[in-house]
Parts: sequence; structure tokens; C-alpha cells
Amino acid sequence: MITLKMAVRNLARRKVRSLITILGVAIGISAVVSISSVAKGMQHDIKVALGGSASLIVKSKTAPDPLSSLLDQSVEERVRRIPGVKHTVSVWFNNRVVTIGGRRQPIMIAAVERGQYDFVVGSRVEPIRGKLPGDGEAALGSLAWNQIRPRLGDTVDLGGVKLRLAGEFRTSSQLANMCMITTLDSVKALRGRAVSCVFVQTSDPRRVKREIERRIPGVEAIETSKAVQGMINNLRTVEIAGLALSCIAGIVGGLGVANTMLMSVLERRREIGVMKAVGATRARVMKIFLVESMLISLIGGALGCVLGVAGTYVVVDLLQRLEGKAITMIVTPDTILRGFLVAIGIGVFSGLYPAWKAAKVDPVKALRHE
Amino acid sequence: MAEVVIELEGVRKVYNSGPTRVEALRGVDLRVRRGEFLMIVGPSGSGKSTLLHIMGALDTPTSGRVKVAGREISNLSDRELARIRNRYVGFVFQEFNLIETLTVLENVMFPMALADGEDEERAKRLLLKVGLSEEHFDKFPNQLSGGERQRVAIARALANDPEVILADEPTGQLDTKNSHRIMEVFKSLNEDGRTIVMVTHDLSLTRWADRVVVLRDGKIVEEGSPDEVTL
Repeated sequence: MITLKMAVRNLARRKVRSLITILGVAIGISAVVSISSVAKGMQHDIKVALGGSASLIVKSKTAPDPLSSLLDQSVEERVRRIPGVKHTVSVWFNNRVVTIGGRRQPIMIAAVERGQYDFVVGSRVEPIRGKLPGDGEAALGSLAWNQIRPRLGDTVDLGGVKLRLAGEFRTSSQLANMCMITTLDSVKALRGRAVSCVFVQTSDPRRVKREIERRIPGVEAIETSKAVQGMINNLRTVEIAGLALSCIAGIVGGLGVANTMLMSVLERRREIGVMKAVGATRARVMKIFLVESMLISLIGGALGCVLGVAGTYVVVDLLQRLEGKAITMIVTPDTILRGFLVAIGIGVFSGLYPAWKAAKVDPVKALRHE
Repeated sequence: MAEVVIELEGVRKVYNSGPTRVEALRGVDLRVRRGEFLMIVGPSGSGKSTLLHIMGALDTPTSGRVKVAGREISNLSDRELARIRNRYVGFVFQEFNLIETLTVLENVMFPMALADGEDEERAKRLLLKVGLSEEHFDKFPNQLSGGERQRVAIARALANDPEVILADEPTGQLDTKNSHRIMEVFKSLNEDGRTIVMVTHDLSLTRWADRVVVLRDGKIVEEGSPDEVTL
């Protein structure tokens, strides 16, 4: 307890120096937290874009991706008959300019069969204004809503089909938050018998994929977990590069801690001599100085976590408002934990050498020479 | 004859400071007996402080034998030496050497924290015993006078109930009035059975001691009761 009090008071005694050192650590940690939370958000968006809760997405073999694919709606019925298929949902994606409340706006439309929005997005689609759309209705994601600023009940003209704006929704995916959703039947006049793809749930994706491709000519079934994993692996490389950069910031922060602690050891040589004179072992002296460097790093870590989350939130929000760019940011306990672990690492490694120097102080010289 | 608590035999201490070789102690033989008030006097540079540091296991001799708490200190590990300094001896210094970031009470509890754990009640009792009132307990050292600081240092030295108090010029920074008061504290501790070894160059203090040792150029040149020694 006394050791901790000493550490706190020593930091408080040299406020400016402590604050600068803490900020140095905080910048490194905030970079780690920020990059981790944006990377997690991007991973989440990839999962949503590649199938939500579905284990397979059936699309046209010739289409490069599900969004630009076109299939006959009978494909879903044929897929459903394959043993092992638990659930299917057809989705029609369409990117078009719509008129909402008299204002023209390009937007991605996702028309989902029987309104199974949660299944397609892979997380809860929550109405925050009005309700989720039924037949003849549409709803806008929160980002699209903020950009267009319509009113509930406005007419949404899709160019041939008019829907009533029933609500605004929010999901954990910023990608989905930029879309307009409706039911598959609402846009029948636009799509005819076409759908973009079929979302399939099965416990045996590999076998069902083979069966689908064998039985239905011209289609391809994508295993979402593999596709997601592939993209996430690519993303992870970028994430690692980002984390490596933030580690450099962390190392700079650590050097700041080491410098502060070395100065502290030099200034407190006499105090170290006294500690030894009253019975502190070398190990105990090391511990006392390590507690201080850990304290600096943990305060820096906590501040870095707050700055990382708040700073990223502000940047993401500004990008959405000013540029209309959707960036998902997900902060999980392990993101914060990662920040703290890096902070602890900084505290231990940067405090080790100064603490060892302190432990080596000769008490007789320290007491005699100052 | 009282038990010997610290024993030195042929102790030499040589310091090498660059090309200069300083022989601080040149074969010192000395026995400190339980309960005595021993005063080591001598001019500056005579090796008094070095001798005291060696007696308290804070320093080791270049050659010779030193037994503290019945153990030869030359071969002890850092942990064992620290244990002796923590429990068997208590140091009091001329410059008080309190830890500035700890309060009066915490300074006294610090050696306890290094041993079995902090005992706040005992720390308070020790402070009261050396004549500091409760109003000072939560003050920091820079809020105290010199005499008060030295009282805290004495209480800290008593923290783990040591056998011997080793005091290095404890009145060196104090005026006559405060010096007298501090000497009264030491005398009272000695009367309670505590062994006191004090180093000083202030010859007027020898009257407080049972035995006086005169050190000159690293050697004991005279030894006896305050009346016997010719200073």
C-alpha cells in the first residue's frame, strides 16, 4: 500500500513530466484501440456483406458477386428441396436512384423475402423510428436517413413502383445502415421473376454446396465462412501493418516512460539509499520503481483507451457527416484488454532497466554524496 | 558480562576512488555489548561513518570479520543483509533521511511494510514515545522542524523493534536545545534496554555514553568510560 502511495505521490510531485509521459503512452494505446476497433468493424461488415447468418449464398455462376447476380426466383424452391438445407431466403439487390419526399438519391435497395432482415444482415435490424417495412413499404438505414432527412410516410418512388416510407432502422453494420430495405413482393413489378441470390442456412455447407451446383445448372454456391475468412485474412494483414505502426507509437511512449523513470532514479538516489538502509532488498527497490512505471503506463493505457474510442468515434462520425462514408467501428472488451495489455507491456519493459539501475544503487555512496 | 551483539575483528576498509586509494579503517577490533550506550568519536575523515555502516550491514569490510546478530556478514546474500538492516539494527542519520513523499506516520510504517506488514497503531505509539504529538502524524517531512524530523527518524529506526540503534551524527543538524532533547530520547531508549551506538564529532555529547571509543585515521586510539578517555 505504501509502495503505491509513494508511486502516486512521486507522479503528482512532477506533474508536467508525468503528464507528458502519460500522454506519450496514451497516444500509442489509442492507436492500438482505434485500429483494432475499426478493423473489427470492417470484419463485421464483410460478414454482413457476405451472407449475414447464412452459411451459403447461391448466385449466378457468371456474376462476380451476389450484388450483381441475377437468378430466377424458382432457384430458391429447388435449393430448399436439397437434403440438409434448413432455411432459405431470396434477396434482390438493386442500386438505383430513388425519389424520396421529392428528393432524388442514389441508394442500394435490399429487398428481402418475407421481411427476414435479421437473417440477411446477420444481426438485429432495429427500428429506431416507425417500423420495419411490410409489403408496399420501405425503411431507410440510419445513415441514409441522416443524409436524406425524409419524413415518415413520405412516398418512395423507385421509378415505376411507389412505396410508403415506414421507418428508420439501425444495425451493427454501417454498410446496412446506408441501404434501403423492403420486402421482395414490394418490388415484384421491378424485378419480375428475378432475385439476386439465395441465402441458405445449413449445418453441412460443403456437401450442400456440391449438391446445389450439381443439381442446378448455372449457379454457384459460395461458402460464406470461407469467403469471409479469406477477406478477413486479407484485412488482418492490413490490421497487423496498422498495429505494427501503432507499436512504434507504443515504443516511443515506452522510451518516454524509461526516460522519466531513469531521471527519477537519478533524482532519488538518496531516497533509494535510505530504503536500503531501513531494509529494502534489491528486489524490493526494483518493485517500487516498477510499480511507478506500471502506474504511468496503466494511466496512459486507460487514457489511451478513452482517446482511442472517442477519437475514432468522432472521426467516423465526421466522415459520415461530411463525406457520406460508412465506417463501422466495434469496440469489444478484448479491444480494451488488448490496449491494456500493450500498456502493461510498456510499463514492464520500459521500467525494467531504470528499476535495475535503482536496485544497483550503492546505499553508502547514495547516503554520503548528496 | 552482557552478550556481544556486534563484533568486529581486524576490520579494514579500502576505497578506490580513481587513482586514489583511501584506507578508511585500518584494523578495527570492537565489541558492542547488549544494552550499552557506545559513542564513537573522532575528527572528520577518521572513519566513524564507515565503521557505523559496516556495523549495520550497510557496507562490508575489505578484510576482517564482522559479526552482527551472531552472523558473519561477509558471506551473506543481499536478502539476508537487508533482513539484518530491517530487523536487527535501526539507522538514524545526520540529515534525517526521511522519505519526502511519505507522511510522518508512513515513514515509520515503511520498514514495517518491508518486514511483516504495516502496523499503524505501533507506529503511532513509537511517534508518541519519541515525543511527537498526533497533530504531526499526517504531515510530510518538509512541514516539520529539524528536531521533529529527527524524532520521526528515531521512531522509524525503532519500527521493527531492533536490538541496536546506530546513529550517525544525529544532532549534527540541530541547535543546542534540540540536540539536548534528542539525546534525552536516545538516553531514555537506552535506559529501556536498547543498545545505542552513536558516531559524533561533538565531544560534549560523550557524557551521555557508557563507553567512548576514539577513532583516528581509521584506528581505535583510545577506549573507556567518558571519564577515562582523554579527548
